Amino acid sequence: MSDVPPARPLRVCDCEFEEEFLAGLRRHQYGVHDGVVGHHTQLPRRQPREAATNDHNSDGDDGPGGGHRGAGTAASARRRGGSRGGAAADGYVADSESDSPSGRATPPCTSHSETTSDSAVQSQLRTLLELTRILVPESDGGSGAANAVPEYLYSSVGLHVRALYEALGDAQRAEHLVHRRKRAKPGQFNTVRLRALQRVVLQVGGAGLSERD
Amino acid sequence: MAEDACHHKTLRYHFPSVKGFRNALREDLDDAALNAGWNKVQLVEGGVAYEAFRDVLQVIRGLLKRKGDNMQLSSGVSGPAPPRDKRETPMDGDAFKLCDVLVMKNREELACVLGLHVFSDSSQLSWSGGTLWLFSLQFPFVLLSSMLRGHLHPGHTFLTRLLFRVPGTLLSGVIGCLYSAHKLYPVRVRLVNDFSRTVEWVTVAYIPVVQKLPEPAADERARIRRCGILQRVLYTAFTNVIGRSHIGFHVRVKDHKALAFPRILLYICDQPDERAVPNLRGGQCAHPCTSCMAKIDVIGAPQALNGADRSVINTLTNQVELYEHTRRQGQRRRRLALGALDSTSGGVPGLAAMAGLGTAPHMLYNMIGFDALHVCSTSAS
Repeated sequence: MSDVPPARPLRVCDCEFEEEFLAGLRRHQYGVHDGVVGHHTQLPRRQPREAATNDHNSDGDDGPGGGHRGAGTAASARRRGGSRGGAAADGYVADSESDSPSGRATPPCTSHSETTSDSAVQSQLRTLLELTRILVPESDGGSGAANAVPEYLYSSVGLHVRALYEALGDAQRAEHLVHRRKRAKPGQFNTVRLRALQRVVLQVGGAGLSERD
Repeated sequence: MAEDACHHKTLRYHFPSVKGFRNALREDLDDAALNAGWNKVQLVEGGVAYEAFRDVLQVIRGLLKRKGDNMQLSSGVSGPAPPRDKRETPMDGDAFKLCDVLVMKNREELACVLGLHVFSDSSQLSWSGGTLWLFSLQFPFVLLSSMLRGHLHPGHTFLTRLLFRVPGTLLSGVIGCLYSAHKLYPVRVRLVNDFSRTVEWVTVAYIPVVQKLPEPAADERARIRRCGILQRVLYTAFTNVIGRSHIGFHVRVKDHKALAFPRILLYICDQPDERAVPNLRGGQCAHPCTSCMAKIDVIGAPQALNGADRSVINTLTNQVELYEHTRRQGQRRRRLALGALDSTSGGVPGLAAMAGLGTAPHMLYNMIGFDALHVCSTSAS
């Protein structure tokens, strides 16, 4: 136990390839290993455009490409709000939960273009998060139970803060405050007197009347 | 009251049953909540708490859509205004101009800052789902006499029976008290680019009030839980705004298309939140000032004016390291040293991920505005 911070880890790939700069290490990993390798760093591949379109249109149908079946299923599961299962399955907790747009409960007034742009932004930020972080080797980071949680170094402290909170996955677990009832007919208070009555019932005493009252 | 075609129809005509009336009310409430984009999430921080929030980015877009004609995109006519003493609007402040200069610098397309003011006050409680309980000053005597008369039956309805069988009870100083199911306080947001006459604060989240539990070191643990819940609520509500604060989003105001970058310029709160939002230690600590590193020995003395400003990067890096060690339950001595260095508590401020607070111009510790009027009114009452 010491009072000095852990030293910066070397930029070493799993295949013992050493590189002075992070960009070079990432170039090597994407060129040789087809992606970032290491503990909790493997991201699910983005769907090709046509597969994504088919998946979107058929709502769960994985499209003609059998090779994209896994990705399509995972993506559609995430779109239905099941991002927790997918995240746990591939062992990638932090970043797959940050791939939020699908799991996130969007308000009904949100337009399609805004949702799409938001998801693109979040995907971009997720990729940025992946490319700019370095896994701290266990020998440097700590020992014992501490190794259960992988530690990363980030390019900026703001990104680190973002990763910490994305790992909690609060925004992805969010759901609508209420669920609309079947055959709901809102707007039945459609006269002046009824609206006045509704206002009294909902605002009396500040919090309104409870159902029992 | 204005009259319409159904003015003289009875309530029974519109709603044949009590259930129908309740359902109509509930459907209207559900519709309003869904249209406003309210979400909820269950937070577990030493106990279960529910938080209600809505996406601040959607709120900003809604405000821009509704009040687009009254929006001003920059502090000057066609760019950042020069520094001056005029302070007629929040856009005249130094914080807005600093962000304005940084955002517009070296950018080909038209860019602008959407300044946000955030307000939270833990003394303004909201509640819901409560039950009205009535107590009488003569309650013990009436209870005794009622028992002697045989009016009281075992079970939960004894108070109701008592109140209805002995109407005189109600005449003798009845005290009403609302025991609520949820106690929450709101977080409100205001867009400072809005130049319309009405200042509109929009509620974006409700923070649950975390109570103390019967446990050792209850005060400290409750404070940690409260801080944790507050940070998670703020981060959840501002998630998309934090993302967009780095890369911006396109807005169209008065036929001008611009790339807008939201920035939090001011966080107005009361004293406990003043320390909780940047996750600094409250109460007795070596550096009790939020914005500078003046030591407690010189606080209130002229030497405090010479205190160095808090370095956002250094303090935040220490906070993150402290949090990582706490999460792994290791490096206890270093955790203590890090906490004492900047008088920080164990958490990480969620808003630090936002551009402008954790990045240049580093306003994380300068954005906190102490709600002086609230303190004055509290002390006066």
